[in-house]
Order: sequence, then structure tokens, then C-alpha cells
Amino acid sequence: MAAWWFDGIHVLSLIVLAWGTVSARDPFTGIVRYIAFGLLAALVWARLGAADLALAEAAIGAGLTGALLLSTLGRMGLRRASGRTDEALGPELLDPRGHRPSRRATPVVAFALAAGVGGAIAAASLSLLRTAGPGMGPAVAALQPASGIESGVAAVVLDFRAYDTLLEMAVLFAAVLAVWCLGTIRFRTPPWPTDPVLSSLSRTLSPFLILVAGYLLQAGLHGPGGGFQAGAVLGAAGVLWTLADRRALRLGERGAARTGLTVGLGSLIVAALVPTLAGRPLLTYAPGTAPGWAWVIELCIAISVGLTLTALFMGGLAEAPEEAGKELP
Amino acid sequence: MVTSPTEGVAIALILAGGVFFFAGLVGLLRFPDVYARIHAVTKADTLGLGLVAVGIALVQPSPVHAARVLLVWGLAALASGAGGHFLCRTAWLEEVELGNREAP
Repeated sequence: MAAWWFDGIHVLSLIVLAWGTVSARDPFTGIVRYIAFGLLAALVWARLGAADLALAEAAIGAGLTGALLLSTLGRMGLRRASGRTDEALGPELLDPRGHRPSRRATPVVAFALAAGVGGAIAAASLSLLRTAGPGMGPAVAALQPASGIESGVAAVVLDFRAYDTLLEMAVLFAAVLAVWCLGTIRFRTPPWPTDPVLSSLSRTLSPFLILVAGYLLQAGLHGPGGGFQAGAVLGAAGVLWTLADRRALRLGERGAARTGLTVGLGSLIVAALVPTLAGRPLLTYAPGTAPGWAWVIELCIAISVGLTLTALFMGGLAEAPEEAGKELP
Repeated sequence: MVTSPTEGVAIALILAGGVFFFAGLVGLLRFPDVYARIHAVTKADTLGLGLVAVGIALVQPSPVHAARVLLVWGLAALASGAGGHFLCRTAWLEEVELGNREAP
């Protein structure tokens, strides 16, 4: 009985927050409600026993998507014209060539799209419910001994469905390239002083975030966790660093960072190609080697996802060093 | 229902934490300006969470579990204090005056 009203409150709050998000009068309120919605959705996933999804939703859906939306909002120039507010979001993240979105056709198109996609998902979920059955669980459990990876989710993501994961990493990589092609980080002259509380918070929390990412990484092979979740936590550390230290904005120029951005996709491509040397199809690991591959790929994915999310939050490459170099401390 | 003195103390601490949460909520809704509201919700909720955390830590099976709960409180206190500072700083930079009841 207690569980029934507890879940009922969750579901009602989700609906109210979803409506609040889309009906908010100004974008900032909408984003704040969206973040609250993501955290509540993570709780609901946890209540449904889907710990992997709960972790991903809390870290990416609520945390980093919220940060990305807020940094986009800062660049759109919709906030107060005085410009002083933007300091809180990061002094250098303001793009003065801000564009205002068109306001007429957008809501209708967005509503039609959302209703179409939502309807399709609802229909698919209902048809799944009707055909009942235990889902993919038993099939995965039957194949798992052959793969040797302890966690069912990790076995699916890194072995049975590794091709999907490869394409996901390619999408993330392409996103960073697109952002680097289109966006520029402009430095303010004179530079804003950095908030000392922000920099000490970044210094204090970063070790914890790296520790948590390491834990999620090694936990991912046995249970909930994994490279994407670990990468999201690293991305959070990257966002904090971006806000606290202006030197972080030169990240995209460093060879190590560029290498790190590619290792996730790179490791999956290597894992895809190596079996073909032995005459096997793409991404079919030799018997007994799957856990080893999985461990390496998870590590590479975590590094790449963390750097990708940080780069997306920065929103571009820094403008030419010779112009801005003199401002750097 | 209460099987040991420790459990009784834990329940008392958790209930006391609830009182502080409620006080923080009332402050958030009723205090005059944005600075006072942030002050109420940051301080009272952090103390409330601390009491709840100590209460929960008391009934954990091992000191390691208890330490984990207290670590959560430590991190939440850090984040809440810093978050309150950022909100107030932004409000101040936006030139929201003390006692301004209209600003969000």
C-alpha cells in the first residue's frame, strides 16, 4: 500500500513537471524544471529496478543535458542585456552574436513531432505489453556464458550489440567535430575574475568525481555502471573545471585531449577489425577474450565520453591564441 | 517497534531533521527577499540532512556503511553551501536589492 502511493506521487509529479517544462514562459524556468524532471525520472527508473538507466538518466539526462541547455541559453543572448549575469555560467561562454529563435512556427511543429514520436513509442510499448513474454532477459542469460562478461547489460552493450555501441561513439565523435567547426569560444577583455568558491569547489569535488567514475567503470563489468556512466561523471568534473579555470577552454588544442576524444571510437574500430584478420566477422571476439576487450573498451569509452561532454559544454574551439594569448594568466 | 535505545535515538534524530527541513521550506516560501530565502533553504536543509544522516548512520550494520552515509552528507553540505553562494552572487550581480520582494 505504501509503495502504491509513493509511486503514484512520483508519476503525478513527473507529469506535472513535464507539463511545467514545456509550458514555462521563459527558457530558464523550463530548463530548471527539466532538470528536476530528469532527477525524478532517475528515481522512477531506480524504483523499476533499472539501476543502469537510473544512473544514466541522473548523470546525462538531468545533470549534463541541463548544463548543456544552460550554456546554450547563455550563448543565445536571451538573458538580461546587462550581461553581468553570464558570469555565473562561465565568463567566456557568451557568444555575442546570439541568435533569437523564430517564435511562430516552432511550437506547432514541435508539438506535432512530439505527439508523433510519443504516439509511436506508446504504441510500441503497448504492443510489447500485449505480446507479454519475459523480454530479452532469458535470451541474454542463455548467451552470456559464451561471452564470459559477468554483467548482462555490459555483455549486450560491448559484445552482442557492440556494433550499436560503435555507431553511438561515432555519433558522439561527429557531434564534437561539428561543434568545433561551428562554435568559437570568445574571451572577454578584460577577463572576469574567477569566483574563488567555484575554483575551490572544483578542486575539492574533482577527486571524488574521478573516484566515482573509476568505481562505476570497474562495477560495470559485474553490475550497474559502465563506460558511459563513468564518462558522464568525468564530464561533470570537466564542466566544473571549465567554469572554474579559464585555461580549461584551451582543452581542444591539446594533443592529449584530442587523442582522448578518439580512443572510444578508436578502440571499438580496433575491436571490430582485429577479428577480421583471423577470418571472423566484425566484432566477434575470440573465445575467452571478450571480458578483456570489454574492459579496455569501457575504459576508452569513459575517457572519450567525459571529454566529449566537456567539449560540447564549452561549445567550440577557443579563438586564435595570438589574439587571446596575452589575456591568459 | 523500537527495539533498542540506539534505534530510538536514530528515530528522534531523523524526526528532528524533518523539523529543520520543514523550517527551511517555510523560510523558502515566506522570507522577504531572495537572499533570505536562499539562506533559509541552504542552512536549514543542510542541518536537517545532517541530522537525518546521523540518524541513519546509527542503525547501519557496520562503521563503513555509516561512514558512507556521512560522506553523502558531507558532499551535500559542500554542494549546498557553494550552490547558495552562486545563486546569491548571481542575484547580487543582477543588482537585486536587499528586501526586494518582487525578484524571483
